[in-house]
Amino acid sequence: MNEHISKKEIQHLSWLSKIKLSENEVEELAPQLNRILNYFDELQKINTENVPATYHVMELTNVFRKDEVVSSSPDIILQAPNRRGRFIAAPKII
Amino acid sequence: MDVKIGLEIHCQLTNLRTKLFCGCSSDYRGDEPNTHICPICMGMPGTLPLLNEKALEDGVAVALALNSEIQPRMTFYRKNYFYPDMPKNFQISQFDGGDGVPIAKGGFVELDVGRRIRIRRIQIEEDPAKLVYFGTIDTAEEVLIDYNRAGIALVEIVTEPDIKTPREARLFLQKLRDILEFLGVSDGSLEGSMRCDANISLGEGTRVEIKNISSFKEVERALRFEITRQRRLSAEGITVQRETRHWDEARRITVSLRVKETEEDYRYFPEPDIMPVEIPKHYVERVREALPELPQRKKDRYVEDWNVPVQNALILSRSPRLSQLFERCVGLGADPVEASNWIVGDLLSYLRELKLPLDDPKVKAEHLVEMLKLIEEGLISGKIAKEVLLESLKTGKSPEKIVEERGLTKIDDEAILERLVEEVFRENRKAVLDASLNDEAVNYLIGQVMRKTAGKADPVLTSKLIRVKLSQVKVG
Amino acid sequence: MKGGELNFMTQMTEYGFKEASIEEHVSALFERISRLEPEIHAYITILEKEALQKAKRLDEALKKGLAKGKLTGATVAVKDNICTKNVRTTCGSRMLLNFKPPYDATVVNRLEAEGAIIIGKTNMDEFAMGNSTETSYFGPTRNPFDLSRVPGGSSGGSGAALAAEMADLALGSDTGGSVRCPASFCGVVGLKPTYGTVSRYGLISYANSLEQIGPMGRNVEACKLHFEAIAGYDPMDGTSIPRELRRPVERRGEFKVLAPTQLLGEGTDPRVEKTVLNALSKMETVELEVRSGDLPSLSAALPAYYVIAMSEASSNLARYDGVRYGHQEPWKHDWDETYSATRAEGFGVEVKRRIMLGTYTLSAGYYHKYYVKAQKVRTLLITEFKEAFKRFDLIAGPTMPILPFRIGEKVKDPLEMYMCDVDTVPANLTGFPAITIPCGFVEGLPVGLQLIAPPLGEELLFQVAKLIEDELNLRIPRLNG
Repeated sequence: MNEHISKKEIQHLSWLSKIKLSENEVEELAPQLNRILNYFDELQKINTENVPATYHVMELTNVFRKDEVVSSSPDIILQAPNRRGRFIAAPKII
Repeated sequence: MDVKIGLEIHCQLTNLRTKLFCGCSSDYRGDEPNTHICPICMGMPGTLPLLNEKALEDGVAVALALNSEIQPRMTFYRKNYFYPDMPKNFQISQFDGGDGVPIAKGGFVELDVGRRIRIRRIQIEEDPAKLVYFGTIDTAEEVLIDYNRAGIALVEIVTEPDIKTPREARLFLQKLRDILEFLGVSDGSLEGSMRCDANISLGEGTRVEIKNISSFKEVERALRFEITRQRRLSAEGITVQRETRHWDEARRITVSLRVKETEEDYRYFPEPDIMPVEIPKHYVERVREALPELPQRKKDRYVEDWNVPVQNALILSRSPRLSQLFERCVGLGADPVEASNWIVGDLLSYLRELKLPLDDPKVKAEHLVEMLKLIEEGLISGKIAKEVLLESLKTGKSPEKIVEERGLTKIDDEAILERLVEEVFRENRKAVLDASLNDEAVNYLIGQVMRKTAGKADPVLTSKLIRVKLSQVKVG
Repeated sequence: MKGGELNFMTQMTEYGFKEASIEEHVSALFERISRLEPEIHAYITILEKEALQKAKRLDEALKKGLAKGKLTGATVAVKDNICTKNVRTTCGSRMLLNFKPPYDATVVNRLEAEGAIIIGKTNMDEFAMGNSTETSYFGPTRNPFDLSRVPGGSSGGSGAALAAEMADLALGSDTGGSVRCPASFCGVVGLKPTYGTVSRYGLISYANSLEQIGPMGRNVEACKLHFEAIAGYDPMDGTSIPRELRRPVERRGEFKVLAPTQLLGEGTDPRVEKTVLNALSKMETVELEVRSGDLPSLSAALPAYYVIAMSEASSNLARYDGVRYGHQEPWKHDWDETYSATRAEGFGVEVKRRIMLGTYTLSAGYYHKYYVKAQKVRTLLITEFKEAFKRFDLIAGPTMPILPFRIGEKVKDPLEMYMCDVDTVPANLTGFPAITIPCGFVEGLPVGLQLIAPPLGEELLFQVAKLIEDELNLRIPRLNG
């Protein structure tokens, strides 16, 4: 089995996807992720030369909405755990 | 070393009534934070984006105006990254490459100085939310988010690195803003409606990206600073780093953003919730037919068809309201050259003085035309006309009414003027003596007649009468 | 039963409603729930008070002849990833533990408009990622046929509630088999509709190019009524098919059925295979002509599915950062750390695994190798299926390659768990409709038979499924204690 993904790469994925992982978790994940990625290599066995990708299964196009105002829902901010007046607050940006 | 500048401009499609993917009203400026929001633009679970059909129309119009090639089929892509201003932590945008197709590719903008700046691509995407800080970005303990702006439709315009100077960059941006205003798709005067990032490289050097530029003037300043900075580094033999820098408006310098050990990876992929959009030729033609005349064509038309002086034509063609006013005057019978002179000269300066906007109801094409007619018919002098114009802008009264009320009709009755000239000669013997020797003193005498008539004396006739009298004095 | 108009209860003779009123029916249901729930654990939220109130109102309306809904009196269990206004919708996750959507999913609106009564939100694998309902933050649901076994997933709560008669109808969502798997494991009928026929507005996304909300019922007729109530164009869903193009069934004499070899043989429990093939051969004497054949691209369907699903999931679940709603950890040094802690605490391990893998398969350098490649395999599959449907009406096989396994048996090995989806994912990849109906038992455990039809072929599916159901005439024990 090839090593598809190193612990360092897993840390990078953890940063990209904003999910903090402990050392233990990285230890546990590494073989699991590698095994699954190894399985994904099955895809490489299929010849897809000149085959276009299908991103949308139903051949629909040009689905639009009219440029007409629909009333807003300002109360949604009540779902946010941290608010300052009408603003939603988040931790600072460095 | 030659400078290569490329710009990436984000323009809000301010004439759309709603946001790009939801029905929230787009008219959020001045309203309380988080009042133009709904589950869709807040990225709540279970919601789906719905594409605004008018955004396509506006996008096509922009592409046509920038001579860009509209793609027969465009798709939307997700740009994935986390940031507090992102309701979904991905932005629905477009991608140029692989299977991704933006609304238009290629194109150009002609600058008035005769240079052509090429466009690389145009795409449609959604605006993120607005971040607000109490204090500065460095001292604030938290960030405050206003989602009113989240989801507003943007058109992103990316140029090739054809721009050669900071000044050219500013001219380009002004031209672009004018074009968008003429199209009626984006009002550049609205706060935050047009934002710009710049890319700059010197000679064979690497490209530096500059972000956080708030106005066109700042673009010029930022680029000037950056050129200086890069030149200095080169002179000292230091390689310029490929990086993103932040324009600090207060200190007027570009600052390196913290170098991240980890590089962002946007993981673009096609947006599954939005179907591809096919843009047939007949649709494009329909939009093209409905396009208003753009500044370039207007300017050329004014100069070629109406002999308007180029300087005037440039100013008039740049502003939708000015050009509208001007064309209306011509339509009502005014001489284009005269009208252009008066609009570009006195009218604009009076408006500045009175702090009146161009769309003030007192600014009427009918009044301007009336005033020009009064001058043409010899009823008032050019000097009096200035006063009349000013008063008309102050009070909204028609020039005819003002002339009538204030009895400003030009005096060209020879008999009356003769008598006044004699009076002036009597009262200014020294000037008369001077005048027979020195031509300039003649103007003084003319001035005296004007004073006695409160400017109403016909200057040409007065001048003639004075010279005749002077010649008689000489003889006698 | 007074009231006159044809309604769900009067139609469902198989259901044998003994009660004289809707209120009694609903009361009896909640009585059963109180007895069975402690062991089965099908529900996350139970709406007893609201349901009884609605039942009373419906009885009143029926008396006045005003209750015209086709599902009047039907009790519906709704999977907890389908939004119900002001009612907790958790997706089986700590991340949305107390999330109350300010809107109803379109399907919920439509059900209520037809007089159905939502009685609760059912347990599920966290964010629909799983096929055993073991990854739920609330703990597993147990299979009513054998409490030591899984009910399937990710709509396990819906399947179990139906099997134990703790609901008349149930809604699930099917991304890679999540309606059909629990339906098969719990001995009920489940449909994954053609992509775009049932609105996804209000369905909390896991993999949006693959998933559909699917109706479940204890028999074909119930499932069909359920489907008809929820299907149809929705302007709130940009992937919703705009026209009613339900394909009328073209009889070609007998229905020609293809049983691909790739869905049988290696990897399939021989007892399951035997049960399914027996059922099919019984049908051969009646209406079906069954042929064996090859659909080679099926062998790549499973890895293609997982690559696409995980990629889309990594993006769809990015919004969960605690800022606007949902779980948020106490603030750390900056936003990056806070987001990372919130997501670490809010998500379970399977969800984290899939997000990481999906982030990987979309990242620069791997995107073409994985995501685009998988989407090309998808094209091959669609082409092959379309070709097959020129000569056949339906594709058939087992719904699941194995019998319901014991709780805890597969959690240690994610890949082994993924392999169970091999028969169901093709319908999601192609977008074609697929139905599962019980076709037999092995050691008291239900076995499901799956039929796949061309796009918009639901009529055909229901018709043939009913034929099989009638012919097999299985006596399915209903475990209402």
